[in-house]
Amino acid sequence: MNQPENNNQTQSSSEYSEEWLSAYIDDELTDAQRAVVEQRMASDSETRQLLDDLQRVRGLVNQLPAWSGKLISAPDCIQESGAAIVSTDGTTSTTDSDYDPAGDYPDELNPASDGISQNESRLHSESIAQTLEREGDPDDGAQRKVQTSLAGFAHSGQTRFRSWLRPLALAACLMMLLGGSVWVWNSGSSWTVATSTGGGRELEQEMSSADSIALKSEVKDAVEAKISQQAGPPTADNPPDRSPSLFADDGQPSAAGVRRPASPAPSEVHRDAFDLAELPPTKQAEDSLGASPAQAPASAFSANTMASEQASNAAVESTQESLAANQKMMRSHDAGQAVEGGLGRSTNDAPAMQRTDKTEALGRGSQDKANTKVQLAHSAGWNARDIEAALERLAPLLNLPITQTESPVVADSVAAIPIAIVTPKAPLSGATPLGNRLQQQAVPLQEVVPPDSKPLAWQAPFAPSVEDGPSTIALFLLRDEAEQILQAARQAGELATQPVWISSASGAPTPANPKQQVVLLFTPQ
Amino acid sequence: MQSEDQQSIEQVLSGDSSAYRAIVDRHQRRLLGLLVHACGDCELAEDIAQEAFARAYQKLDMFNGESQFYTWLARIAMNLLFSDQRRKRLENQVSRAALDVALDSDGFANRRPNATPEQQMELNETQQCVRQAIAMLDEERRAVVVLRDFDGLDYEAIAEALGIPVGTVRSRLHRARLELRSILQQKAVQLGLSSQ
Repeated sequence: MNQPENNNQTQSSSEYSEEWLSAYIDDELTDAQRAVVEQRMASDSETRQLLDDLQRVRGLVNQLPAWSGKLISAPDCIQESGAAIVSTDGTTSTTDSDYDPAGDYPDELNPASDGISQNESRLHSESIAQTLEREGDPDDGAQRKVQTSLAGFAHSGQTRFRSWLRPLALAACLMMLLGGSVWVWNSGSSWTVATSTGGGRELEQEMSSADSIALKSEVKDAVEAKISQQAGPPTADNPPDRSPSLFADDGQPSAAGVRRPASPAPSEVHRDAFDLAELPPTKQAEDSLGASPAQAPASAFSANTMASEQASNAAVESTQESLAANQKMMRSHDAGQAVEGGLGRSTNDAPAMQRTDKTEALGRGSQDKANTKVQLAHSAGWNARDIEAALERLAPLLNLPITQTESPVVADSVAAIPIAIVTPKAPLSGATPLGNRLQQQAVPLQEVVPPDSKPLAWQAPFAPSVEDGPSTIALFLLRDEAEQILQAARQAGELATQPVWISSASGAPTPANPKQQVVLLFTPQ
Repeated sequence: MQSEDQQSIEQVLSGDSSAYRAIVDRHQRRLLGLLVHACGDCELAEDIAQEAFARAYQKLDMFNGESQFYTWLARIAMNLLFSDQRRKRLENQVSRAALDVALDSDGFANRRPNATPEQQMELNETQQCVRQAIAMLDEERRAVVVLRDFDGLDYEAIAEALGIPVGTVRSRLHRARLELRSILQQKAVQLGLSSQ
């Protein structure tokens, strides 16, 4: 069965070989060879029998049905390509004149790779666009636009770089681009890198306390005004869409068919969303506000992340290359904008939220939103289908490029803990600073959440535990995104408990700051 | 189809990226079928097809048109598959048994018109046996036999897709068919095969 295979193509036409039988039925023999085979068959019944068997085998394989299952879509391919452009080796591949499709082995075969598999990487490509496509979302095409190039870039940062050094370089690149911080940690066999756009390691959390925070109508007005501004003036083509509004709740079924149960009073919603920001900054928070983003990276690497000095130096050295690659990627994606559901732009060329389509604005006007990638981890305590179903129901309301994945890093660390973590990918990653800090200082979550909240205890980034409570989702988001998700969750009836907010002080601790990093804990129905 | 591909490729390279959609639509069903049979895992096949199309798009300017686009695409896909399988071997994540388990008929239009339920059941069982037998081949033989007998590529295209000589295709294919015959005989499937 494992005999050496004959690679000799120069066999004499007169030297019969059994292999010719297969070639005979495939019509891949010369006339002379065919004649030899036919002569052989005429005189040898075993040869005839073997030929018959080979033909039957071929026929059996040939009669296997054609594929009629799930198909893939071009925009997703192109988006995937966008990720690959910069992720395979940190260089721009479009100029690779020696591309050989067979040339993908080394990294795959490298046992010293980072342990994040190609397949796992591909799991990340399950995009919200695909979800929407399945769900028949009317905004199908436009939704995909939020999948911008940098989303792929961020995606690639955790999944496609094959060595542990590469994510470090990517993180450094993002850090420099965004003025944020880099966090690296090791989770079992995998390295994880994340960045913070907030620009400070000293992220401090403030607790929401329903009793301590008063509703302020000006805050509500400000947020509604901002949402209205983002959505643009209502037009015939762009009717007012209240789904992302924090306060929209008419109790009627939404356009997406999501049920809208009786929702909390506006004041309650408002309080939930902004109670933290209403609090005066703590001393720690005030201290952290003074932290310069430039100070962050060096201090951000925790001791237990094993991010060695050598690695850091290497990352810095590769930053320029990564930057160049990133810029190249941006250009490539700009060129690809003609594709429906294609690639967005970088934030550099889209400073304002002037648009007629909110999805388009998400894709083109906000790098942070465009980069939102959400990981979904679940443990034995979670029903993954329920989580996915809940998020899929939320997705049409969110207009956020959420990608649900089962991150190997996260899944490993939350094994047997009934909690799901939904976290944006870098460069948002409000999760990492907070999680990192919690890991470093072993701060149990009980200390940072209100007494009336669920008894949670954080042990490490992405490794929370629930002592006694229902499954909880932790959303690591920027505030404006969290607001949308929360509102959508409310409207969809997905919230079983009042959410708990933990906001960082890396940004201005004001509810009007949509880019404030927050952590939202809530329990879905 | 080649001219259609070439036209679409030129459009893509000239900046009309939407033309790539036509390429994907044209080839994805065939590629997915190939990959499913080559790896025995529908989800993995979808992932690899997605990745292959993405890489093809990314490297489209490297396609010189000397071969069929599908052949070039198949080579990308098969190499991705091989890479994945070799990585899994390194991690001891794959086994023949796992391949057997992974195989199912989801995604295949195996309904035969006018077939009685019994006939349909028999057909399904036969196809399942064949898929399992294919899955039991080693990856190199499996690739050749699927490319030839399921996908219909000629030897030269297979050689190009796999980056091996035509003579190797011939010998590998023959050995793959012999092994398939042996497996199917062992499965005692009434396929009209001679007994050993």
